[in-house]
Amino acid sequence: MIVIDFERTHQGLQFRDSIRLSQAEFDAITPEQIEAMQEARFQSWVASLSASEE
Amino acid sequence: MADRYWVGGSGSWNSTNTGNWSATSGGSSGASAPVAGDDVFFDAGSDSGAGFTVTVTATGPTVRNLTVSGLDQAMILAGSTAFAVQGSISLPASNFTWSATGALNLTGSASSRTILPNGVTINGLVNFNSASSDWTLQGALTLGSTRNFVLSNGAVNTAGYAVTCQNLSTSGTTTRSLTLGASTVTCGGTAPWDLSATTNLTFSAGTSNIILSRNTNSKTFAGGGLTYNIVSQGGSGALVISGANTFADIQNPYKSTGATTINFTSGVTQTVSAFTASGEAGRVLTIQSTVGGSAATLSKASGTVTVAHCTIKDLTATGGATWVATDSVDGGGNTGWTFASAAAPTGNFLMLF
Repeated sequence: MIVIDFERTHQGLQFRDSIRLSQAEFDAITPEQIEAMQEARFQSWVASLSASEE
Repeated sequence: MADRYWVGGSGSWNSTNTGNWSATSGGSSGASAPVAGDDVFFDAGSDSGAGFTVTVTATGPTVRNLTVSGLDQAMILAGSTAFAVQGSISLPASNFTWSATGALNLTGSASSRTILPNGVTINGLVNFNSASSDWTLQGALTLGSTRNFVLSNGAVNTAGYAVTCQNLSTSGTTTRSLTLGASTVTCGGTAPWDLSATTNLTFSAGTSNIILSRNTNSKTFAGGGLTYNIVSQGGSGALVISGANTFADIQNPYKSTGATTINFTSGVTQTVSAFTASGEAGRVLTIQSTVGGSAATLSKASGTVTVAHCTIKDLTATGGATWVATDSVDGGGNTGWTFASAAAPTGNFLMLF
């Protein structure tokens, strides 16, 4: 499995995650798509910082 | 122990349905429904040529390892029935949605288990409940906004990855441990953090940052008297800190957004290595005791603590350090604070009469 750990920072707060892909998935994906995946996860976390309504 | 592969597209996942299980990937259905000890796979052989939904229904299943990988059609895991996984979980980075709202109970007795969320939001309560078991995250764990992270039994290592949930709690007296490493833990509920059940609990804060993010409603951090790294007021909801805890730092990242409050339990001492929580001009941080007229205590051994743009009420600052509040309001009942104006600007000025 291909492991792509990444970190992003928002207002001094750190988000750390990992994208894991099979070799076939990794071969089929572009760097731009990986970047988009990382950004989507990061922005989802940023949104959770200001949401939190029951 | 057997391998069970889901086939045939949409269907119900329970303890009796045999219409969607095969012993091989993409093979013929009719295999027995998986039971405890069986490994379950959802993969490219699971669909019937289109997106599909697997609905967990009663009686909720119990399986060993759950692996979802290599999907070439969109899969939705649905249902409201709880189910149990007694091994590891591996989810794919795409084509998968966990909309199931039933609790995910992590039971059994296996050790060295891993959880790979791979960007999937798990929309059910996650209950770590296995004596002598340990789980290690292999990526950020995000639960639905109204879903809780519960440590009932066993050892959880977040391995420095982000954890996001409504509330994180533990209870009981079984042997439990929670190791955060460098994790940022974001809890958005009204009882966002409760480690007050400390009997047989080992908590390792590492270099973590616990962010209590709820807006509007107040929220309680029940620290259990444990040692933390950074705990942050991350929302407008007033934060109540209970337990005689130790902190590397208490912060207020919400200051860039708005005013907020941190209440410290009356009669209880919070020991800090740093206290960098402050407000900003127009966005005041109120720090006070939970009981008017009955002070809470903040203690730092040495050095200087400087807070700014705060309203301070019924707080005793002690421990050996110097506690200074600039551009702040003395709300009364305070001891050990020096309220000072911000340093005057230097330079030339022209006075006209």
